[in-house]
Amino acid sequence: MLNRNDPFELRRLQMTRRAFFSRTSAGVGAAALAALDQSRGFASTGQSVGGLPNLPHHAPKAKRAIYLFMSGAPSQMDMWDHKPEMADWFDKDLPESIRKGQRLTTMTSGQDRFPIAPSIYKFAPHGSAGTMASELVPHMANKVDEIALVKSMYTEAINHDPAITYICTGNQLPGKASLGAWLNYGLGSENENLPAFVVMTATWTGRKEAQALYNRLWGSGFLPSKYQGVALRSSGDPVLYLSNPDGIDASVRRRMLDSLSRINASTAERIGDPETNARIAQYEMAFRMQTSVPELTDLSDEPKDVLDLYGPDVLTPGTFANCCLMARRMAERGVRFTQIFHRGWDQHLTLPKDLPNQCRDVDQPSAGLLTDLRRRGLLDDTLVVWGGEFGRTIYCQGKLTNTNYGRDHHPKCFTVWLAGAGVQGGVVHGETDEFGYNIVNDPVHIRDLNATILHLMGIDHERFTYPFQGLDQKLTGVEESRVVNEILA
Amino acid sequence: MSSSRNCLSVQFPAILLLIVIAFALPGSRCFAQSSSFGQQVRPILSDHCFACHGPDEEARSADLRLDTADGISYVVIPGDEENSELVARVSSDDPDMVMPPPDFSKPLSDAQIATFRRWVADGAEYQEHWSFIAPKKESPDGVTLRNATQAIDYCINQELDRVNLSPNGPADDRTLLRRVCLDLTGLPPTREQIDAFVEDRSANAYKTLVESLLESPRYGEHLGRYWLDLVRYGDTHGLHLDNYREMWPYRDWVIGAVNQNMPFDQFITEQLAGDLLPDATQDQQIASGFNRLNVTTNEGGSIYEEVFSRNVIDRTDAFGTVFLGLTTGCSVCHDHKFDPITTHDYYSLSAYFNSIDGRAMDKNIKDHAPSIKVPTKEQSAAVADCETQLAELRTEMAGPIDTVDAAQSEWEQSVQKSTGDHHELVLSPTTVTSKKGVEMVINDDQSVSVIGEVAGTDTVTIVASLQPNTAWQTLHLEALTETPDSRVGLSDNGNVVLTEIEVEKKAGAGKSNWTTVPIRTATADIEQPGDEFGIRFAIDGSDDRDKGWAVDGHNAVGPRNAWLVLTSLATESEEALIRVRLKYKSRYAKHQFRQVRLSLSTAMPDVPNKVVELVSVPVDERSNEQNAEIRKIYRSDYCTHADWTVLVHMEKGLVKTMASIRDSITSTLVWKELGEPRQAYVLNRGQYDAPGDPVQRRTPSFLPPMDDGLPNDRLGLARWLTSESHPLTSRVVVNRFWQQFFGTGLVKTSEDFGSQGEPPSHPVLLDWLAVDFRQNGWDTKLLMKAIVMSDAYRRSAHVDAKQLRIDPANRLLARGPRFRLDAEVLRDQALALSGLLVDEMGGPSVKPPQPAGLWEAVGYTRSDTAVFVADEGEKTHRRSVYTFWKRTSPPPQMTTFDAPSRESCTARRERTNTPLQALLLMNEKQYVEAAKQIAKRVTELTDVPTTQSRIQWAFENVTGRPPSEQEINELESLLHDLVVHYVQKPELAMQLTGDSSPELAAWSIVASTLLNLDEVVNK
Repeated sequence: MLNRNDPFELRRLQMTRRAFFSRTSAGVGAAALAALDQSRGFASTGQSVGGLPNLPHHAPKAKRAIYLFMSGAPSQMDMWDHKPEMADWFDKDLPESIRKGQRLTTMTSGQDRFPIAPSIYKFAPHGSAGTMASELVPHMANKVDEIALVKSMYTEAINHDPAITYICTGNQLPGKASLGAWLNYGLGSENENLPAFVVMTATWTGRKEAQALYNRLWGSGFLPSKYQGVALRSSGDPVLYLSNPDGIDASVRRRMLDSLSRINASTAERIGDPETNARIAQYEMAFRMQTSVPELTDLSDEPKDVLDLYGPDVLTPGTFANCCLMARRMAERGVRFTQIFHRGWDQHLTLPKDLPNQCRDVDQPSAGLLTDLRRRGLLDDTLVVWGGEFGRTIYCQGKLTNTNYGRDHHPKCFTVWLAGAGVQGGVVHGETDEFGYNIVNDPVHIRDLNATILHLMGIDHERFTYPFQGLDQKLTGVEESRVVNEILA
Repeated sequence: MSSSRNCLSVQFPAILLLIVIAFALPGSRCFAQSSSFGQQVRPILSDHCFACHGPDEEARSADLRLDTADGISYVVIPGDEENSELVARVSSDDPDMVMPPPDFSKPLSDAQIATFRRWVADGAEYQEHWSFIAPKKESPDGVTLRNATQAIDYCINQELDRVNLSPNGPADDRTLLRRVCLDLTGLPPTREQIDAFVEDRSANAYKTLVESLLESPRYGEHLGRYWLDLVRYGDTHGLHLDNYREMWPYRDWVIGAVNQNMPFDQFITEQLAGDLLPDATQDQQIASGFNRLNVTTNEGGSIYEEVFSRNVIDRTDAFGTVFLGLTTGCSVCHDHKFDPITTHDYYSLSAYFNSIDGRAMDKNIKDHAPSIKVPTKEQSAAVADCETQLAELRTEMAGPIDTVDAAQSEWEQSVQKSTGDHHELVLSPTTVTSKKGVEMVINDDQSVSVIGEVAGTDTVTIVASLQPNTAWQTLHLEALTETPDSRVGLSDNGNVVLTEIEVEKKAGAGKSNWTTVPIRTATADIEQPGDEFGIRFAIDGSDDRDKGWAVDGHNAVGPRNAWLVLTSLATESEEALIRVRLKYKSRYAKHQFRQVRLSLSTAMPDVPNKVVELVSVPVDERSNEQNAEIRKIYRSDYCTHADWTVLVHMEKGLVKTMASIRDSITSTLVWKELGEPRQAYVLNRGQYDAPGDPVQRRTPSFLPPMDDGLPNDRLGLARWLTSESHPLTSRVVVNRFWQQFFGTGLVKTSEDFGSQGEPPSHPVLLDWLAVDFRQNGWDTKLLMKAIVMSDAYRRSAHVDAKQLRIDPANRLLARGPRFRLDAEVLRDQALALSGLLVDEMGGPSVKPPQPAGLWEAVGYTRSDTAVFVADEGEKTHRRSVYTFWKRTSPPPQMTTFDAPSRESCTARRERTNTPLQALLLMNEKQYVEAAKQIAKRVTELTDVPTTQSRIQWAFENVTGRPPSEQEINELESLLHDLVVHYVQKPELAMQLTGDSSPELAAWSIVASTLLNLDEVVNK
């Protein structure tokens, strides 16, 4: 479709790129030209770009992963870890034999009592194994046969900042690379028109005062910064600086890039620095992203039955439901790792007021995401993980009544679930004591969870290293860690 | 594998060990022996063997260590490879015998095994790790090197010669000009600099230019920035709430010190130990803030000791990275696996950094103690002015004032009469309410009591009818107790803090509004000792939770009384009401009265007997002291005369003004040492709650000991670092400077000079420069000058295929440095080229615009940096070194181009090339603004008439060189097409520039194209 009135099209006819390069020899100029030609049209998905030559270590079960991160620490005993015996323990003190001098946060270490607050939510058996789930997660309860529920997660950190930094980067202190950055570095991208690691921060409706997130949670740490997560934003530019300024339309941008690329190609010719050709290619990829990202975020082609899966908030930008749908669209397009951070789970006080809202935010969209992925055949090679940075205490923080209670941080056990590629559905792994305070069977450290995620992506966590500060750095650090084979299909 | 290839590859850079040279060669040469232990063997041992056979005693297997000559002697027979256990084990086919064991996942390559064989065959010479031996100035090949520039070129050229690479010729003038301006000032050359340099044909032109750049204040802003990365300077605390931290005086100190060319040993000393220097100046104290740059937290629930030990560890690691170039952090949990740093060494070193006179938790405040105030000259003058005025006023207030003295006589008579027939009335409350809904009751004696469960904080409101036509003077508050022996408060300890009391009146129900009744003065029978516990704080108009009338109820039983002198309580209305609010908002929970009764009196408050006695002394018999005391008592407690009140108001106003000036004075975090150092312990496995052996302050044992004459504190530590015998400090410093200019250090791993770091590419040169730097009095500018004056620096950056094949990373420097500019330089360059740059120096950090929502997306909702508000005007065009750095969400204009978060020490930035960078340079608001500004200047040029000449002008303005014909043609055609486009779409032109001119819009795009050129993005 040639528009004779379009000066840019005319120019292209008059002055081919070959004419421009007529005075230059082949070689670098030709390489730059090849980069230009390759850039026309949209690259298809499925073609791996970047990544390490020796990866994957083994055939991956998951080509990509979606991590639903519940920042603030969801209360496991109000959602997944049913503790019926606690009904008789209302307002009685947690026995010292159970607490075993466990270190406490200083928010409750000054309490003279540790009165037990049984969950006020009803639990019922679901799925073929009768897995217990509370009334707060009715949609996910119907998915228990598709997920592996791990009730025996634990960590050492007892406060949010160190704990969330620990689970996301493998260390409690800032400075290490995040899970997504590792995956990006090791496996590269399946779609060079979109970032390989995308992060979304969702809105929430529970406790208004929410714990902070930190860019380091999706940062690259010691890895080159191009591996860090790219924020997909719900307002403004979905990717920072994606849109042309007002008054610069796509044809102007294309025309500008044509000249820029040609002058840069002559610079490459003149100086011979290979980075110049790389830069030409990056500008072309930027141009393609200006099309591929808006196409990604345009939900107008989603049919109603799909939208309904995610619940009523799905078309409200920034909601968890909206982010989940976006995650599925990215999975389709080959984005390697998508992480959605949902805040507001820090229920120290007034848990019954806030937790139901938090659960409503995520329950149907999470279940909808699994359904949507399964229907498209994507769940076979997409891993989905749900969880927070630690758990919450069975004993009450603040005032305990029949209808109101709060829970402090609890690192000694919490619940996560995994689903999709390579994960065995219907499994409940690990067990906590009757108080939900200590793990009695099959403890899973957060390092083990990360090792398992890497394993499913085809990576042996022991051999996946990066030299920095004299050490072969690993996501799982220097301590022992293992793949949780018991939950694998 | 050929030996030349081995020496060239980046993995095995040429290295020369001085010990070897001293014995093996008639004079040092600039390159290495092919089977050198340090160059080839030790790196393999370190990477593949030390984890189990290295310095870490606990992890050591088979009681064998391979990091010492003694240890190696057990498994190596020099010259006899066949009978050396080491060779046998690494070459074994038997999985049970082979080393490293298969499950270690780090097998040796054939080439590495061959290296071991060759080394053993050659005699298995052992040397200490190179960087732990003090550097010496050697004369390579017996050549005497007169200065650093000559040393650089001699060593670089020798190595090039050896590998048969020929160096490029010099870069052309304009390229060199741009390169050196960007490297020394972080800014591109100005038009004037270009013209002057191109015209100056003298032999000294370049030298003159360099000297002028070194004197530019822009130099410190640029060079200082590298230091700020290294030491992790930020404008927020970095953890959890990530609140504002006021620390910019430290940043300005760094820039100033660099500009003054402060000798680098002093630069180190003032930062490490400025507070310990005799009569430490304000600047030296500011510099000691270096020790406070670690991230801190105040997260609720944190365990104090854990946070404390993390802070100490962070500071110790920073010391290791910044000054030693070592990864000390490995020794937090166990002896270092690669370097000879034991946990005892580590915690002994940490003992220099554990005795801060301040708390570990940062309270989420900007000036977390210890901190100092850093007033500007204006602020100091304003405070001094207030102080003078206040002194004059107080002198006046202490002297005779006719009208006030007359009122005093009347008062004295009334006191002497004393008994008087005044009227007192207990108020009968009609209602009493608790804001928190706590149940209260009105008793028969008209007192009110709390009978429900008391709330943590509360406000109790009592309403009573007000008797008309009476000259009420005083409101008497009685806090009652059940028995004389019980306590007056409801809190666990029986104490009370009344943070505020308010009195209002109303003419009658429904008739009018409540009006405030000012309280003139207040007295109480018992005030708890302390600066914020007087009754005056209950009538200061503030609910401050830290201030109020505290009644000492936890120390003494029985009731309490307070008298409030009121004005204008008189009313004529028969239905008038009085309302009294008792506010209990103290930080001390439940500190409230159990039972309170109110009454009104027409008399002034009871005058204490002591005063009555004093006043009863006849006037002519009083001593001067007595006169003065009576005057003081009268004026401070009883006087209501308008002439006095006005003086009191003036005094209050001045005090308040002075306080607000003081509040506005910048603070900065500093170090202050405890009188007695804290005892330090080895923390077992790094756990704060598992202290092991107590340790004393001591420098690591593998380094030269600290001189006995030095104080064993941070000052001694600084002197030790900068002493002649120290093998690391000057090497580490010189290497980082080298890295700034050439993109990579002589030691590539500039953060790690240990066993796992990369050996230097030009060891003799590094040592020569390190010693020379120290001998020249740590003169930084001299070193900068030496580097940029070298041929190596001034070469053309042109790359040919052979160079690319043999030395892709340009470690041997056959060509001049060319790499992508840092984020800050890119932004500053665009602002400078467009004329937008504001060159004001120093002051609070500024916030240029950034896309909305970035802070909000991550910030703790209650953080004071949860919401980003961009600055306006000139502040948005300051140099990037002044940009506000929120560590948990740093500015995207910077991080997109590899700027670190400043949460941890960063000795070198990565240099990536991504599409997100392209989007930023094309679309980010300030880059677009710069392009438009350049376009505006071009289109307003009157003396440059033709399109071609305008293109030339713009091109030269941005790149520093005139365009080629081809480039002119390309840009002319671009401009032409754009003009045609914007002629057709004037509305787009209007959107872009606010002007419908197609030329202006087209030129804006052309200017943006120029700013995006690879040549402009690179140096």
